[in-house]
Amino acid sequence: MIKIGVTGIIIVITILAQVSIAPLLPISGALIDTNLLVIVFISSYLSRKIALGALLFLTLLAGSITNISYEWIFLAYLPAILLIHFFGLITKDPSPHLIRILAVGAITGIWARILMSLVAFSEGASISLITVFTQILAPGILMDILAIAIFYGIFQIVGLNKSYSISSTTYNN
Amino acid sequence: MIGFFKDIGQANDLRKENTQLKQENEQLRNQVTELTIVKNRVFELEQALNIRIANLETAYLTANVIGFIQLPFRSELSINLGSIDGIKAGNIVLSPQGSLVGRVTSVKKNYAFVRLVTDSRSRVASQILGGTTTGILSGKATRELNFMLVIGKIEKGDTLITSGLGGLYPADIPIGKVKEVNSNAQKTFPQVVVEPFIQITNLRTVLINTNFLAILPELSQ
Repeated sequence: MIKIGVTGIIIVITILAQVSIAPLLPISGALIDTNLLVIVFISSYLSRKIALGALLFLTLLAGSITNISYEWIFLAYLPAILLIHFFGLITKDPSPHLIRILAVGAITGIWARILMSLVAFSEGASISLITVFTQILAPGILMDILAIAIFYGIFQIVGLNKSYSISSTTYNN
Repeated sequence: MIGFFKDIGQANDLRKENTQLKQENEQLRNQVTELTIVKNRVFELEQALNIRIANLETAYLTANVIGFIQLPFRSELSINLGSIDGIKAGNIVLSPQGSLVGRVTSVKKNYAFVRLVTDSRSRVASQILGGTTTGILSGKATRELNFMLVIGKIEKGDTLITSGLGGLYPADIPIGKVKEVNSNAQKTFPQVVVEPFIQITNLRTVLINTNFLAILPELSQ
C-alpha cells in the first residue's frame, strides 16, 4: 500500500516537472521525458500490476494537464512495461540491469517521440524525416540514456537495487 | 581613500546617465502623445468613412501561465482562465509587451490551452513591418519560425508583424525578427528563419484579447 502511495506521489511530481522544469532545458527540438523515466523505472523495480496502474494514473493526469488525448499518452509509454516483461521472460532474470533499462528506455523513447510526431503531423504540423531524426530522436535518446544512467546510479547508491528482491517475488504474479 | 574618489566618479556617471534617461523618457512620452493623437485621428477617419479597422477598446484579460507543454512539434501553454472567465477558442494571446504568443485552441471550465506561434501546427499570415513582403509563418521543432512562401524583398533584421489575412489573427501584432535568409536561384522562395520576440520559458503572464475571435472552420460548424 505504501509502495502504491509513493508511486502515485512520484507520478504527480513527475508530471509537474514535465510541464514546468523540462521545457527550460531543451536540446535542439527535444526535451527530457520525465514521464518515460518514471514509467521505465516503475516497470523495472515494481510489479507489472503496479506499473500498469501507474501508467493509467499517469495517462489520466498527463492527459488533463497537457491537452493530449489519453490514448496517445497510454500508447506512448505502454511499450516500457511490455519490454521489461519481455526481457525478463527471455533472460529468465527479472532483476533491473542497467543495460536492460537503458535498452527499454531508448526503445520506448524512440517510439513515444515518433508517435507524438505522427500525432502532430496528423494535426497539421509540417514535419520532415530529417528533422525528426536530427532534432527530435537523436537528442531525445541521448537525454533519455543519460538520465536513466544517472538515476540508476542514484538507486545503486541508495541501495534500491538490493531491496528489489521484495518486488521480484511479485514479478510472476 | 581611492574607493572614496571612485565612488564620487561613479556618482557623476550616474548623474549623467540619469539626465540622459530623463531626456529619453521625455522623448518617449512625446512620441506616445503623438501616436495617441494619430490613433484617435485614424479612428475618427475610419468612422467618417464607415470602416472599422483600428480598435480603441480592445479588451484584455490577464492570465497566468500554469504549464508549458513541449512535445515533438508541439508547443503549447496552459493558462489559469477558462470558459467561466469569458475565454473562447480563437481568442488571441499576447505577451505583456504586446508580442504575439499564440491562439487559444481549447477551453475548459477553469483553464485553457494556448497554441504558440512556435508550434509546428501554427500558421500565421505575416508581413514585414513597413513593407509589402508577405508570407506565412510556421513553427519549427527548435522554437524558431519558418517564414514560408515569401513574396517580396526580405533582409536579416527585418521585423515581422501579423498581416491579418485569413482571419486567424488581427493585423499589426509584432511576432519576431528575421534571423537568417537563404536564397538561391534554384529555389522559388527563400528559406527564412525568424526568431520570435517571445521566449516561452520566460512567460509567466499573458494577455488575452477577448474581442478578437479567430475565424476557425471548427468554430463555424
